[in-house]
Amino acid sequence: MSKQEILSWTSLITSSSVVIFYILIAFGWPESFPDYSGLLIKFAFNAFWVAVIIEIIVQVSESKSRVQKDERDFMIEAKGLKVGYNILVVTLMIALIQVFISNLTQNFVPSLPFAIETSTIFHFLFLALFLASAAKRGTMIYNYRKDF
Amino acid sequence: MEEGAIVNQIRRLRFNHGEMTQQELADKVGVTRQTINAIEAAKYSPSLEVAFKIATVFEVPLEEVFKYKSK
Repeated sequence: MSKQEILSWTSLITSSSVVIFYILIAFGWPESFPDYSGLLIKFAFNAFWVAVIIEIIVQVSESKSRVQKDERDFMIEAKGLKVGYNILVVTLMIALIQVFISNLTQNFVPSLPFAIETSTIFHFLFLALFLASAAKRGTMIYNYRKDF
Repeated sequence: MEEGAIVNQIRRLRFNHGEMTQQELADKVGVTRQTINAIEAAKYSPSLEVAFKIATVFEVPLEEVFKYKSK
């Protein structure tokens, strides 16, 4: 496994851990399910720190004489960036349209159920940011795995 | 445009050059070992620059390392 692939895995794990923390803090655990939130937080916390430690070890143990990143890594990163960027643009468009519809309905037809609170849009954008990052890393890992 | 395949002789050339390892070739070319592995397995087509560097390491013309076979 190349250094860049290891870093993609660690980045994906840290992003996912942050998303789990954020969702649990912002929205809480659904009442209809048995409460495993403590277990999930413990798992995400451990995964986060393991990923950070692996990342530090990889960075420290790198050989200065060997190439760490080459044209294939840049090409795979470009593919990941393309997917992440597309997801980010689509989610931003959805958020902008929602803000527009929200304002419109609040001014003219307040009874319509399209109005969404600003905090919800903030949560949506925050999660979209991590979704785009995770999609980028996921695409990179997929391309490394299939030996692009 | 009709698709073809790029085949290479890197494995044979490495063997003929004192059983050179993928890592040794990667160090001489200036890429990672994983990239040499992907090129050798015909899963990644390198840039012209890397292709020429590989040919230079083996001291052979480019067409002896890479060949394009149309289907």
